[in-house]
Amino acid sequence: MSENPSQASSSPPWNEQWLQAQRAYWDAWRVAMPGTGGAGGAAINPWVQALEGWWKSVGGMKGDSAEVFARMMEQGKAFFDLGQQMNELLRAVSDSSAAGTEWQEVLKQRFDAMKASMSMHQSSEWAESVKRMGAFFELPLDMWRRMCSGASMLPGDCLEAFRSQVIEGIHEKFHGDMDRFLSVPGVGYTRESQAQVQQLAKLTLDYQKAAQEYLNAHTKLGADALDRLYRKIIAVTQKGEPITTLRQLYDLWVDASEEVYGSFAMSPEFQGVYARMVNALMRVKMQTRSMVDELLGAFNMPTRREMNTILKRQQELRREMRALHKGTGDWTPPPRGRRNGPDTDAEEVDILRGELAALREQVGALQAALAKDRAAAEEPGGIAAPVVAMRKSRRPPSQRAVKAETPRTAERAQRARSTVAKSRPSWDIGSITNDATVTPLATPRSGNQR
Amino acid sequence: MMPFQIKPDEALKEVQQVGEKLAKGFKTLSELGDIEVGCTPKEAIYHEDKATLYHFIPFAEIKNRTPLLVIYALVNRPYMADLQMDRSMIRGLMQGGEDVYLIDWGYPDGGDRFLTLDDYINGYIDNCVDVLRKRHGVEAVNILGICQGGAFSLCYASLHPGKVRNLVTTVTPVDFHTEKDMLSHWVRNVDIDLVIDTMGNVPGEVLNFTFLSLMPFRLSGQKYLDMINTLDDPIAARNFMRMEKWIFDSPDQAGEAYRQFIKDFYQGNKLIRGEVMLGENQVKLSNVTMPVLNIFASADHLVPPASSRALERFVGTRDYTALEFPGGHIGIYVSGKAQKMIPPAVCDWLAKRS
Repeated sequence: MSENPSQASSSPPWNEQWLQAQRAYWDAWRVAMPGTGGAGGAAINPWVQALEGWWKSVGGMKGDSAEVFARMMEQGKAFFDLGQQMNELLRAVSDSSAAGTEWQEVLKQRFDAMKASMSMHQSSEWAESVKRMGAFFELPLDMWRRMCSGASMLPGDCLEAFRSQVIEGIHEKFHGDMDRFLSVPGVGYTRESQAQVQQLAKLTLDYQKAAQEYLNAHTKLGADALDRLYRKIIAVTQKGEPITTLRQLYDLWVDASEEVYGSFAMSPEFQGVYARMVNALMRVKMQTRSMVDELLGAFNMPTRREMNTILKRQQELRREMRALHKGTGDWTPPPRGRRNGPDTDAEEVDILRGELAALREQVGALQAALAKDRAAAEEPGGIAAPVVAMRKSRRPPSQRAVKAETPRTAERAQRARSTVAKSRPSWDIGSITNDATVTPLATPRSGNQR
Repeated sequence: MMPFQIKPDEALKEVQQVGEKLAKGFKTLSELGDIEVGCTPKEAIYHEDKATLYHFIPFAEIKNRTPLLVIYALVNRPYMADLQMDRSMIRGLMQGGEDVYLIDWGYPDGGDRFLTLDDYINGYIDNCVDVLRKRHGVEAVNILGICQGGAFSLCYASLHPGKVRNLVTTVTPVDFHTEKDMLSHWVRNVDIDLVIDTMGNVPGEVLNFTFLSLMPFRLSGQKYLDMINTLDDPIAARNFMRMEKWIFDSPDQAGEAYRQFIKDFYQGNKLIRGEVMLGENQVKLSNVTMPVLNIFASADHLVPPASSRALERFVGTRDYTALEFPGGHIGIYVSGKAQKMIPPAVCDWLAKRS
């Protein structure tokens, strides 16, 4: 597997030809992609440039798809960058063979250079290109930056600006000095407000330190992923399965990154770094909120604390009411949006009584009709009319066998007829929705009923 | 042997193709318009605060007279179970003869900050169950819980066993301290009291970030490069966008409910210890005595299979069935394989117990 100089010289002729072809090819790539340079040099990826130019020319995208396309663009750039890195890598490996050095060694050197470029302190096109390959490791910080902007009275990502300008140069001693300075108690009339500002400054410093720790852990992770990728490349070589496409290499890099990340994310070290950053940010935000509340209180405006008190009491009251209702057994879910039936037990009983009255009325009419029919049949020469025909010719209400005893009963009977008519499947099409167009039910809630 | 046998002209071609496909994809995505989700017609039959109980309008013969209530998680939107016509667990269940209902939790806001798990489980869920019991004239309903909704279903079944005829749990976390539970490891040292006291409700964006962070390179990188290759197919692009919409459609979380879920379930692992308190009621899985079908995914990166499997050791029923799906946490609802396997298995299991 190892290709030291002696082995290289004894390698079969086809291998030598292959290497020569590789050199020629990668030289051709360099011609095709003018402006590409070596590690640490000023390398501009023309594909990335072209993509960005095209994106500007089409004026971006709007709607649901915009963010997705932006992500695809990022990955497209990462893929182009991978192509550029591979160009450099493969040319170097090909050259190494010609120079009689081991390709593994050259490969390792190139990976070490890429790892160095992942450091946040480096800035060159080449370093940017490498960083874009591992752009995700910026995402957690992005997320926290957005949360930070919501945590501060100052606009935007001021905490981030503070980090990049100051914190990267901070060391333990400086942090300790700042901490002692901010711990000096205030005196006099503005003592309280001074103490609050000092506390905010201390908490902000703590957060910046925790965020830097988190960032450093991820930067290290990117470097570890490259180590893992190197080992994977060696492994596929040992298996005799060469990498033949850029995409294969990209997938290998993703596998390596996930493996390294997965191990790290399960470690106590990550748990600590993550928790310290979250907790530190929350303390900053809490302190900021307290100060905002103080300010609002001074203007006699509602504060977050007051709102929380009201909301909490309201929820407790609703809970007590629910418990009381359920405890006394008269609890029924509030009537909301029922389309095909009664809403409460009382209403259901009322309807059933109405139905019963209506049925009695029908039975009475039938009995009366039957009696009349029998009487007619008993008359000499009489012919009994079919019951069906009798049912069609109902008697007027005054002649019904079962009369509506009260207006309430009559109303029930009417409602029962109406209910029976409605009880057939007759879906309210207006209420049929999908999630894209949820139609609220007719009556909006006027309160928090349960 | 040299590790790389990539020809520059072919590499150039690969890179060129990605650029071309991106350009074509721009056209495809620009013409997609709004992305619709939730394909099966449904009717809202009950509202309470932001929760809505939906009834899916039957399109096939209802064979099981006991209604099936689907209880979804709070952390995502429930249309994932009914994403599109050919990827809908709901349709599969209806096709199998179930009369399906679903609770949609809506999008909590600041006014919902003090909703607790007790409010969700003994309030909203219990009221929805009562609505169905009355509507169908039954003593008990069938319940199917999804993920966190599965954990809620277990709590509900434990406290109201008489109202649950059969219980189906899918990719449901039960033991929150299994070895490969990444989420559990992450929150172990986070001061949740401080988080909730500070933020009130937990923004959906935090959840998005958390879920993506479980597999960042695949979910934030590789997936989009794969997508570039299919962008010239509008149908595939639309399918992708539906899924994408769902992934990033995470509602904010009511602060108190979230606090208790993280502290008691993730940090304290109290569900299996019988120490979860909802109001004044103690949740004991040994009270779950109705038949239970527990479905989990062998490649679940969110809820490790071991976490779900644990249910068998703690549940009180004598009629326990486990079903392992060869796929992931989302694939169990939307993959083609799942459509053929999961709904028929659920319907068959329920039919035998109706």
